[in-house]
Amino acid sequence: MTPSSHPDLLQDPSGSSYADRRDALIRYYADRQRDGDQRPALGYIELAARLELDRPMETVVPLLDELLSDPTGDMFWMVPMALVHHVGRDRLPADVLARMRDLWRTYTPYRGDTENHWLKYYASLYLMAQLDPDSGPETWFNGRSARENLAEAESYIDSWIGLTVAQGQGEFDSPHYLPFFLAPLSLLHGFAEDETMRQRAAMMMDLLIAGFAVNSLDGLYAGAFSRIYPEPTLERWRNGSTTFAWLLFGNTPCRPDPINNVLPRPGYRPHGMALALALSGYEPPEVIRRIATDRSTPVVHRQRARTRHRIRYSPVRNAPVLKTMSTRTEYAVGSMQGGLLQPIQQHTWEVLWATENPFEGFNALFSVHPYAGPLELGMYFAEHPEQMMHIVIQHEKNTYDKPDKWTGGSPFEQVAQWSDAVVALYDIPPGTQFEHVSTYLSRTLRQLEAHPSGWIVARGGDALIALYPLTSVEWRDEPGGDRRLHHPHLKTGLVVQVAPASAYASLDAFASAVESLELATSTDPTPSVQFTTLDGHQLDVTYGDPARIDGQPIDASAWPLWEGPHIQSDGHRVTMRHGGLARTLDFDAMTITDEVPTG
Amino acid sequence: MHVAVLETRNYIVGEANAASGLYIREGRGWRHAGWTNLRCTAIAQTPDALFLGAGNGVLRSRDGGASWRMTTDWRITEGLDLVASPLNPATLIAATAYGLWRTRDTGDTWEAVPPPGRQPGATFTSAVVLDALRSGRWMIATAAGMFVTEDEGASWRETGPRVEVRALAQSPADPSLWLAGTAGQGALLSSDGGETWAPIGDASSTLYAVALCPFDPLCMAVGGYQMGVRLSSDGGASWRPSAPSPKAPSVYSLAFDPNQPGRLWIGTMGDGLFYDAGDGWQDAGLPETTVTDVSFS
Repeated sequence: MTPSSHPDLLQDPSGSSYADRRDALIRYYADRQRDGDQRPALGYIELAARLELDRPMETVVPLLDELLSDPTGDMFWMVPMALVHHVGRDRLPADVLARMRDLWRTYTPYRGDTENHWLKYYASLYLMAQLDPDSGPETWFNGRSARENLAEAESYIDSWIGLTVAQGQGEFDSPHYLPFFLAPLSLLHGFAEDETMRQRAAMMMDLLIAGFAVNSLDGLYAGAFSRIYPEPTLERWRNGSTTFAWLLFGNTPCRPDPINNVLPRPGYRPHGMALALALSGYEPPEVIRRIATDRSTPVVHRQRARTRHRIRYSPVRNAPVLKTMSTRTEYAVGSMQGGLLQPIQQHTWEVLWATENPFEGFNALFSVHPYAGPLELGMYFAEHPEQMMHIVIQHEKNTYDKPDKWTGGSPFEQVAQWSDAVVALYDIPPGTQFEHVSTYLSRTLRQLEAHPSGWIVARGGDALIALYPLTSVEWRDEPGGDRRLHHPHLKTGLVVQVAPASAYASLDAFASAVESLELATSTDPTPSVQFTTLDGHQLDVTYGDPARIDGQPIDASAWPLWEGPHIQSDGHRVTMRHGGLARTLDFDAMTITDEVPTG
Repeated sequence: MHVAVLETRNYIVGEANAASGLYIREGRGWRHAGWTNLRCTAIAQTPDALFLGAGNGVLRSRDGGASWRMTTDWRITEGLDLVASPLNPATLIAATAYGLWRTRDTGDTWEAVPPPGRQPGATFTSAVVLDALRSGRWMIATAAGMFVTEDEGASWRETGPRVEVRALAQSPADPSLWLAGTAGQGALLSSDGGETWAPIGDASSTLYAVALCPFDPLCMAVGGYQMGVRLSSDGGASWRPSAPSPKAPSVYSLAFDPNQPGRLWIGTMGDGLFYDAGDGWQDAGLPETTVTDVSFS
């Protein structure tokens, strides 16, 4: 690769190695120049890249001085600050390093209120404390000595790993927030002096990246998510995770910031967090790369995660989240069971189809009950929930209480999935803020047709999609040529069946096949579906009861952390497999074991 | 006088937010002391230290706010209330969204207090009050209702209706009188030390703050969500609504001034601090802030 080639590689990574992409990303950020009011402005990410490439100090120190004069961002500041300090500790002038270090005394960051906030906070605190282990409490913002900070940070990181390995992540599968987990882990892996900590971080990176690999299609995060913003729900490539997929797997082009910037805050860098990984020395194991890139064989995975901590209005602290993911070359179908599993930004199920150009976006189909209310906010946040409604909608999550929003969970939603079939049911009490359900029909769907049988069929890329609403619907136009199926009923739902275009001679042939399937639906007294899927299984779902497959209830209590051809878990051991390759992460022994094909 | 500010208007986690935290009254103005942006909810004072309950945990300053130490670790978070024992200044109780914590050594170490029950919400503790009449007797307000302990948290029993309670106060003038503010069911009054409770006033409001006058047991105030403040001078038989800030109708904190009889301080959600000494509301400053606690030296 030549130093000028990174724009091409961002557009087309095919044939490149991880090292090629890593080097290109570092150059991309090192080369960025100030461009008017473009957000994010030049910041710590660019400085870290320039330091890594030994660029002249006059391209580093003045900008660094500017940034140091006004620290903001709390834990979002801590990660890039720790990154620059570690990359630059042998290069930056001593007086600059001293000024940087002093900010950890004078600047008082908020620890935050979510899992990714805390991991950022404690990983950064850990790394900064280890640089100066004998420093006293008077040199730290929190009045605790370096050794106290080190011990507390390690204790939290261990606790988070233990909980995640036992019950799954709380902010699981977030296309937007995955970067904010991988960045602090990258820092720990790359810069922790303690070998055990580096190993723990590497294992968690493997685990999270493997989860991303399974839950993605051509580099786009797919399926059910804990947290996603509205725009990137429809234009999936805009999520920061896409830049990580480009870097780690090389299976998608990407547009890192500032080309793409979901939240135009000065120092908020979900895409830029990939630089932390690039500078960490971490390299994705081949088995994970293959899991992410090989869609030649259809596979189904089951996965257990958990809700964030519920602090009231719930009998359990962390409710289980039960996920199903089906992937193949043409599409991905993913879901979780429905309910209020995450505040505000939940994405419960979808079909995402492969597209030649991911930047076209709008390649998903899903439904939403646009629930909003203080119950959800009070369950997960400590503030007064009524007042929080006002606060949430004043800021960046301002679609929260809108009837036409495309993100969010509902306590009145139940979803079941078997392979490429999904049943989503809704039983909404009268008087709920919004008494309807919306199904998103993308502008990119082709041959969209409503059949007299009640089935609606369409083609998304090479995915053939059939959709059966349980009740009457209104077709509504949306901006940009999208359409919305408006389900104006309290008791409603839909059945979705997807198949690859290669399996049928035409969309009509697919429609005929689906129309011949056994289907019985009811909404009285509660929504109910009995559906025989295209692969011949009986899927029975009645709202409020466990779903049944071929007459047997799905046993949620036995749902594993991971189960499927490419990832399996057994206690605190997680094994990733592809072909003859395997990697086992043993979180009890804290070991990584690789298997390679023999002969 | 000290005031805790939770946040400023347009606060976003991780953004370039305006300073929040502790403000100390100096003349007619305010001095910001110590940490900014720590999601501060409560102030407690002992003879030789100042404490803040906050999202990050419990902070302590022994030099009037010039320097601070975070006394708690990651296990203690989402602080909602903080009180110092009037009998033993080394003992403080922190109420958090995850339960109660106690220190017996002025914050050097903390221990979890056993939860009052297994009901959903019983650990979400909005307020704790140490009974001024009986040592070892505490009352807490939780999302599952109110609970009483007679043995410093070793055992608990329920008191009052099973309704989410957000605010709780004991009358300094008549310690047998207690006032509670609920979510959606208005105020509850007890005149027998918190053993029995009766609704008073508007039984549908959501209250974030209650206060009892230190000089007159019949004088009380409640405030909360989109309701301004309501004042009673007859023990809750009648109430007079009042709105200190047309811009911020929700009230987060209330405090009768122990040093100036008849003066009531009101912390709003988003429009700072006001006081009324009987001649109308006066703007006390801290514009565009949510004031979560008012404490007097």
